[in-house]
Amino acid sequence: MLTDWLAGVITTLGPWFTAFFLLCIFSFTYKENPWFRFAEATYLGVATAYTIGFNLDWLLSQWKSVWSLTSTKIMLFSLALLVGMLWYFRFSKKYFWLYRIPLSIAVGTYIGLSLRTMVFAQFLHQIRATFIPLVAKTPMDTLNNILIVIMVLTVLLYFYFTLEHRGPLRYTSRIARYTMMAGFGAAYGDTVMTRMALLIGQARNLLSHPPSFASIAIVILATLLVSDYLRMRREPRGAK
Amino acid sequence: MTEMEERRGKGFWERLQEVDSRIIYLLLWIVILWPLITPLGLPISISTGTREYFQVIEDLKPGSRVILSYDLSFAGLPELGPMTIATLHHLLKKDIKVYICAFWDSGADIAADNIRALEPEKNYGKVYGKDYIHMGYNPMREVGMAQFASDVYKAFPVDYIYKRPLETYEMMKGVQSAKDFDLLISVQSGTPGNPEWVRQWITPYGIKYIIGILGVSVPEVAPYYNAGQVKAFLAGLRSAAEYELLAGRRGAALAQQDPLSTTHILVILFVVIGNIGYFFTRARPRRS
Repeated sequence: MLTDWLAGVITTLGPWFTAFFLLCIFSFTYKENPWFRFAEATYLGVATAYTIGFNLDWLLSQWKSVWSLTSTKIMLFSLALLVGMLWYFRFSKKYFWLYRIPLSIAVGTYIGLSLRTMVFAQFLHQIRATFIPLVAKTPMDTLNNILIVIMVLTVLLYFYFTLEHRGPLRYTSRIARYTMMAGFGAAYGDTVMTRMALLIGQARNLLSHPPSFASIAIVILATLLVSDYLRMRREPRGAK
Repeated sequence: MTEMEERRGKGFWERLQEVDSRIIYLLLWIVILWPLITPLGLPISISTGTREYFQVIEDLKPGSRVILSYDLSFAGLPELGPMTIATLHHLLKKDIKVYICAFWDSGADIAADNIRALEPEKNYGKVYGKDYIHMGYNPMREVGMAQFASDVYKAFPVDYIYKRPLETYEMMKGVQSAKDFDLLISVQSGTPGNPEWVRQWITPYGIKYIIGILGVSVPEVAPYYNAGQVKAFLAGLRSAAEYELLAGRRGAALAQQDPLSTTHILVILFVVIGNIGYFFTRARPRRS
């Protein structure tokens, strides 16, 4: 059967493709090169096609399961589809204004929905969470609470621009700066952890297919070194 | 002057601050591959946050209804994949109803893959549609979440696996809106994610809510945790490994802890080296 044969080929080639594209992307750490550009373009193409295909499939499932059942629903579905198509007038200079119709609907809906609870969800609850007792159950909690209160107040004062940061405000703004630096440092640490975790995950993926990993790595590295060598021979030393 | 000649003209401490990125990458590969090939077995302690996450699931009463939302992409899988599969394993081990959904397109496929990998029928004695269900994908982001909260069947008319109307499944009896669920778990790598769930589910309905996030998202989520909106969260591969230990399923996160530690040591080392170089160049007058 053709499908079985195809499934077999894909299963065999899958690890090779994975290793190839991963190494192409990683070759950027050496320098920008055609292998990287090829993998980047392929990735973008596949990701876009996947998203479009997946969402069209969802649209079709909605049509089958809900919207094709009554004539009113068919009309509503067609109307929604037509309004949705207006997004593509983004690419027309003449009819650009039509694109504003779905845009305004989307923005209006989103803002309306999120504003409904935003004040409580992302403002009042957060303020309430900083109203903490200065003396807590354990000495560590007490210290933690005192630090939170000091840091919140000083950072708030730091962004109070009506008064010049002189006199007592000079000291509070210095504490605020240290507070923010500590915060950014912690955020940087978290970022490093994420990046490393992603790299380790892909390295583990590569190691699970050793023959493909090693042979593809040799090919990519060899072509990069040879192209560098040829370029150096063409350009005299010291030339810009 | 070429780049090489320019570098040669600099002093030792100045050069220490400008290590070639290719050398750092090479060292990075070495400290990743070496512990992956020969594991070091560094000890792992379990943090309070991970215990809280574990306990929220552990405290669920029999028959509870839990939503597990896959709000992640393939790019986030190396970090979020292990905690997602460990969470699903933990949920399937218990006598509760699991409702799987996704607000990211790739999330629906990842969920289907996880179900295939765990084989709930064979390994946990669970029945599709009775004990767990994959409700599929909703592309409408925050609007879809609001729709899901007010009417489950409008947000997910058919299930993902068999494309049958959701109301035909046994476990959907008595389920209409957000109020009918006991816990919401979202494993997420961006938008729509935590703020959207809090706005549409947690604030209006007061559902218990825990999440799994990328390490990079911790500063964004911490205020929600302090405010009590997020009851517990797992952050990154490290928390995932701790959770794997607690949930009793050793997986990819545990296997990746040694390289995670060695890479961190390397980064710390370079930060220290860079700072030493900076202080020494600052302490003495610059070369003309």
